[in-house]
Amino acid sequence: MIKIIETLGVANKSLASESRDSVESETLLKATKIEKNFGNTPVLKGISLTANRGDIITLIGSSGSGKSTFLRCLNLLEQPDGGELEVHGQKIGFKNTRHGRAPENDRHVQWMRSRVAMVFQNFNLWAHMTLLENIVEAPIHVLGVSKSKAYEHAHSLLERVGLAERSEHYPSQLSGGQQQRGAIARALAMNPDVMLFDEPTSALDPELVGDVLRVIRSLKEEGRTMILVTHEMQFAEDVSTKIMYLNQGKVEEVGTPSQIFGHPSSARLRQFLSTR
Amino acid sequence: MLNLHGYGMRLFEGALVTIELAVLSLVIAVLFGLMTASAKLSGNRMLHLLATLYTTLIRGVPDLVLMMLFFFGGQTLVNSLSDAVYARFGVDFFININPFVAGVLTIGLIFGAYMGETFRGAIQSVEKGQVEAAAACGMSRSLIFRRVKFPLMMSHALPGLSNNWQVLLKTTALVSIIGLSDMVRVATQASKATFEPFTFMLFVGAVYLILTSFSEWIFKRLRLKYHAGYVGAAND
Repeated sequence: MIKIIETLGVANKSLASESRDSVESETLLKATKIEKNFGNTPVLKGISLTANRGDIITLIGSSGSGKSTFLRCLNLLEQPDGGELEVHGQKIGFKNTRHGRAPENDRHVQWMRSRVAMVFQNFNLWAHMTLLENIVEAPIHVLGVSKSKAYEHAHSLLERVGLAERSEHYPSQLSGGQQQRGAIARALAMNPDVMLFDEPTSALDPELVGDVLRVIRSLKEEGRTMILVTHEMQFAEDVSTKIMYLNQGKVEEVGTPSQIFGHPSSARLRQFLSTR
Repeated sequence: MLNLHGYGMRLFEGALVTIELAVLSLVIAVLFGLMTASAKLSGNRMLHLLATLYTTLIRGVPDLVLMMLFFFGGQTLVNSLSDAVYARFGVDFFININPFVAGVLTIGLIFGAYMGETFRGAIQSVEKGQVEAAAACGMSRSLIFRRVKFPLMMSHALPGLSNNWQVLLKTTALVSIIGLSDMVRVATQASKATFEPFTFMLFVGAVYLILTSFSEWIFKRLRLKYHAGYVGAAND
């Protein structure tokens, strides 16, 4: 597992571009008609998404459009009330309980989550662990990677996100930008198939945003599959392979960045883009 | 020099009883406390009701009354049970409620109710995002509790826990009334025999003070351990 990442790291460009042509259609994550209600209010009204290897899909939309909720449904931090979810060809089964729909098998959900990493708006690095401990935690205890390999990998990841000197610091001793880059390293340590980013720069001071975006951009270069929710429109236009515009719990428009930003067809999207 | 009139060894043994009693009660209390807190936070109405009943009852009745109730009342209950069994099945058995076990259970049960509240507050103060991040990595519920929830909770629970421990340690003196030879009982007997209550009570008071000071030191170290991430606020 670690070897794969190292290979990607060394020969990232060639491997990424090659694999994109040869396994173009390898579907890593597929969500079909996801529905979600908060009480009696529907927030997601049947949203579908397919992420193939190398895709970078950005969800945009005004606040309350459901984009963060949808993203959280993709690794079941929110339980969808309707729809199907498939990760790496494995369907997640659901059952009906007294408290609504729930996953059939917790083990299966845990496996799925170990393949789909999440980067949060508020970083959520574990406060009682050093940066280094944060990064090795899940590889050791969830994936069963040996300690020496996990630490070795963690050091190389910290190097990569520019935090090699901070490995022994606690999250409270780091700036927001450093915490977020650390959180990205923590996600990468799982060597996930898909990475989810939930407004990764929204809680940051403007001068710290650049470093985090630079790290995410470097992930594109190694061919990572990512799904982002962001308000950074310029960045979305630069890195995405596909943009989905959500409005009131529905997909209003989907397209390539040049279509969405250059020739938006719906009036709502035009209006949304003009307010930016 | 302090003259203990030959009661030194017995007092030492009494002190050991006090310590054993306190430590074992603490273990029981922490277990009951965690169970109570989980029951109250579980969202299950039946469990919540049961836990509320438990804490209300225990916290509303004096420790001394509970202690006598469990020991003497418990013995009466066991006696009538054995009578009933003998009358019905002709099997004769006799169970003597061990005062040490009764003491540990009673004190553990009493402080479990107080610790339930401490733990409940501490569990609730763990940020949701910290648990979500663990779940998002594919951790199981028990792993999340062990690696993330519990250590984070402890930093919030320790002040209340150390407070409870100090009170618990001193509450063990109550077991002298159910016939356990703890430090206080030995000292009481010695005072009566020698007419020197001042000497013996001063001695016992000093031992309690040493014990509480020592545990205060341990708790300080624990606080440092579980507070690791909170010392030294953000640089920028």
